[in-house]
Amino acid sequence: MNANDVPDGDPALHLATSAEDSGSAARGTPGRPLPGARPAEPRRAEDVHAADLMRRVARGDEQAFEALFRQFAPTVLGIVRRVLRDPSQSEEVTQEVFVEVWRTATRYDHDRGSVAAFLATMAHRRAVDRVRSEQAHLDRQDRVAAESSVIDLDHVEHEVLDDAERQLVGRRVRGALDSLTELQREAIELAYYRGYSYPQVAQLLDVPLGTVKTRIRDGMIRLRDQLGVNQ
Amino acid sequence: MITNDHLLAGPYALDAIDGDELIAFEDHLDDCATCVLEVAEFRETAALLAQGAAQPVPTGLLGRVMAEVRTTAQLPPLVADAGSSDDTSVHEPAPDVEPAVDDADDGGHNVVPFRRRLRPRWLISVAAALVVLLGAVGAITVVTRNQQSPYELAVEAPGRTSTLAGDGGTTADLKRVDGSTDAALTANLPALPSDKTYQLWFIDGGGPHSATTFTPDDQGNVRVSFSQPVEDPAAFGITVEPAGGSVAPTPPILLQGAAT
Repeated sequence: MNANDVPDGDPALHLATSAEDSGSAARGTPGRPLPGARPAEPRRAEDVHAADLMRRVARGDEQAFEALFRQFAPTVLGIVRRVLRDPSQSEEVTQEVFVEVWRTATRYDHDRGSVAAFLATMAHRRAVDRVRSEQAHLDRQDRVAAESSVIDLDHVEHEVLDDAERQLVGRRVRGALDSLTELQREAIELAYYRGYSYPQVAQLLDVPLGTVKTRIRDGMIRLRDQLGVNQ
Repeated sequence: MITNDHLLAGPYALDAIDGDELIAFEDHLDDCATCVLEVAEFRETAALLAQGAAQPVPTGLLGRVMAEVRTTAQLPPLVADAGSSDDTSVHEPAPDVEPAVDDADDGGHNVVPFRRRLRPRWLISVAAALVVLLGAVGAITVVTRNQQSPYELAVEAPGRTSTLAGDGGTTADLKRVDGSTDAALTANLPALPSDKTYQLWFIDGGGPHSATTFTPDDQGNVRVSFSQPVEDPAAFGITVEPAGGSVAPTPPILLQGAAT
């Protein structure tokens, strides 16, 4: 895992490297720099909008659901694919997640967390569950890594290059991850983007379990503060 | 003092715990409002990590999802009042849940969905779980996330307050929450330009160590979380540093004071 495993700020680099990037099939948002903008407020506004969509979805509004899909599918697919890597499995899981959102929208309570967190949590959980239920985990990854280096034209067509907000978040996330110590960053990236359990992370990084546990939490605290989540 | 259980909030929020440890931590969440809040915040943070991985969605996926949605019934809303336990559409029984509260099902916990339906009680609502920091003292105040910020929760939690002083008679209170790395800083600090950050330091025999960087709210207050457990520091100090923080404090020290 290195610094290139997370989308950085250069769309050209993104396009040039995605075909040969076997280390990270789910490279996503190219972060075109957007000087001077401040993401915190747009993000909150977006969240209020999403919560409103969820209320409409809860009343059976299919149009609102479609809007919700358009807003969050890139994120859901992105994180699922980071973990699973396999494009068709990732689409399956993404579909499951959205159908589940439809089914349970009536139970969503905005006071307990943002729509984005609701969806990301569900997506990551399902992806991780799927990975861990596979015994031949590493074998499969090797196989999939080879397969997923082929670009699907389908995917390119719907490129979301224009989504300034998403790019901005990508840049901020990259910056926040870069502010971590190397061990914190590696541990969090292995756990979140690869879906490894913390004992697996400890094994990979060759550090004691307790150290990984602490570093993940310390790193998340720092990310939380850097990204302004705690205000 | 931080127990091992507290440390698992990070791995838990990233779905990086399995087996017995997962069960044990979920038990711990039943009783630990600090961890419930921390997990909720980590999940919001993780959502941004997910957004950082966003990628183009293939054509056709929306159509497949919509086709399935058109043949999928939605769960009925839960009624906060009694009687919701006879909700027939919840496909699993919810044995561990008191009636009248939102158990939701596995997809419905939007703060911390469970991998397994072990113990839905604690997350019944963050509100209930935020039953403020408890501790051995045992005073119970129910708050909701809407009503109290992390800062306010930290202010009200049991802990020790150190007073820091700066030039011109300015002062700040740093209230450290017992059994946690959280603290409430009441400082009336002005906002900084985006290329600067405030940084809190603790000073012991080994010199100054970074506690955390932070951004105060409109009132100049903030809940901070130390990036490492602070045992018994001699003093605290606050400086302005370049965005992202520094490894050593840059003079001048705006505010400082002995630790209590």
